[in-house]
Amino acid sequence: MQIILNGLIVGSAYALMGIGFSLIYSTVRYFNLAYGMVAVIGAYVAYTLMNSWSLNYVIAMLAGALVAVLIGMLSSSILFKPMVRRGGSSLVILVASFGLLIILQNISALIWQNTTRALSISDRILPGYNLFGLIITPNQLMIGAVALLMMLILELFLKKTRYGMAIRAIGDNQELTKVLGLKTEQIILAVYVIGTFISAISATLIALEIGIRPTHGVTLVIKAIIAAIIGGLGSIRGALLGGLLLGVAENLGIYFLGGQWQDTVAFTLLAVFLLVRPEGLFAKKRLVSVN
Amino acid sequence: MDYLLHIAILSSIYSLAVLGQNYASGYTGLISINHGAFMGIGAYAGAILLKWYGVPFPVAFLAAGAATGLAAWLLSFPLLKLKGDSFVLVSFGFSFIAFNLFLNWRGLTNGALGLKAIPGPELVNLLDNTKIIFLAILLALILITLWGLHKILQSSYGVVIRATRENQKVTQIAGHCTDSYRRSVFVLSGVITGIAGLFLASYISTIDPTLFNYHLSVLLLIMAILGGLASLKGSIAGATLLIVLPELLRFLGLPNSILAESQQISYGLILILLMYYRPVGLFGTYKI
Repeated sequence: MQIILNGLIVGSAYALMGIGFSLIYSTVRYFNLAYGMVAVIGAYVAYTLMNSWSLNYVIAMLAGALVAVLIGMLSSSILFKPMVRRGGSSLVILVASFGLLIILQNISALIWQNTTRALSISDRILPGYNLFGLIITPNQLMIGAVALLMMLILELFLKKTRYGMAIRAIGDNQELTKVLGLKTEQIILAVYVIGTFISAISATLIALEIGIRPTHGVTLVIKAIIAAIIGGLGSIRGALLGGLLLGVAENLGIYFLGGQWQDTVAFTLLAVFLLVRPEGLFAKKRLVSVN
Repeated sequence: MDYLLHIAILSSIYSLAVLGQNYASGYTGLISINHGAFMGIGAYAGAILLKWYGVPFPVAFLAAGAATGLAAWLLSFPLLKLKGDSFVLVSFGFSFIAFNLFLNWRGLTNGALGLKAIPGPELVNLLDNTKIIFLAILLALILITLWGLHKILQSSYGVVIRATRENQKVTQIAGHCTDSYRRSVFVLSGVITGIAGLFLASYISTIDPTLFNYHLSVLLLIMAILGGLASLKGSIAGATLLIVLPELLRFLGLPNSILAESQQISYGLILILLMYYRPVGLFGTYKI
């Protein structure tokens, strides 16, 4: 049970990551592999703020997320948008975003060194809480609570506001939305802001469990992609479930096989879903293919 | 002189690997990010036989090809069912799984410590100017591969595999079993890359799992795209350029501490600029 609880908690952070990815993907229709790295930079900024200015964890997290949002917006408007306008296929953009990932990862390695930085909500080691015989640490509580809160806010935003409705409309049919007179480019930018914001929050939460490393940019974007694909690309609830499933599967994998097979478990899960149910648990559409 | 020879050998090894990559990605449209894992499988298979069993080099050569071919054949079953972005993702996943295997199958691969003192071809050990002979063997192999691929691509088989790249449905309707064509291409491409891996192992004589992580897979794909997809000379140009360019950074006088990072950053920049301005690469004939 403890393993499943741990899995659910880290899974809720993966889910947040996956939701952001899914949201961006559903409006732009390409895979942005730099997504995870931008989020990790947000976590790094939070780490620096906590250590040099001894800021509170939540404030540092928000500040880091703002920096990440700035980078995310720049990458979209300087790189990806012009590429789409030049008629680049989704594969071309996928490869280019990988280039951006490599650049950002190595710049982070230059700034923050190639080691794991530990992050915790408090300097002291706090005792865990006992919950029906299960132990939950304050760090884990923070992860679960913030992830849940973010998801609720996002769900309300998408369902209740005009902006949210426009975002969902683009996800359904971009051309039709344009014809109706909505400013799609502005909405795409807004989606980048929201998606990057929650991804940076999520990366800072995950950092509580596994620390921060430059290579986590790749790891996290892969987890986001897996969570999003399992749930069905473009579906918020799907990504939530996908993230939780991935978290539990990984923790069970660690328990039964050992931590060194973590990536293997994650990718096997991805391959099985792509083969057996490529549209994911909740999707309206199949994964877009080139042919 | 020795340094130039070193660069030439490395460029040749990577050229061979990229020929394999390009055969699958350029001519058949299988944009795979797992050829680094194939290089690793060839390298480990050959190195284990050479080091622990003392087999002659030609036997290791065949074994490396066979092991990689087998791996590619097995991988092709899940992989070829997928298209486009999901194909790319799962093949990328395979490079992680292979890395996990290299790292954790300690009995076979010696884990993170890797294998040391891997012998090279016997002919090379007998003579003094060994590196030249090594390069000559490699160049001969590249020429044979070029000739072979050229013949394949000119044959009716070659026409069909390019047709599967353009439109699989139409090719199927024209009466070709596209899956078996694509599978055979993927296996041969794996064999070529695996043999390049064997040469890498016996040249640098020490291998460990981090050599064959996903970075290598990405690098091979970048080389193929830079040189140009569906271009044989492009494969060689792409590999050589990306071996030589980061070496030039050495002469800029960058401190050692940031050399590796700046090399990686230069790869990233090349990739972005290429995708932005010329997605077909230098000599490419196929745009992804």
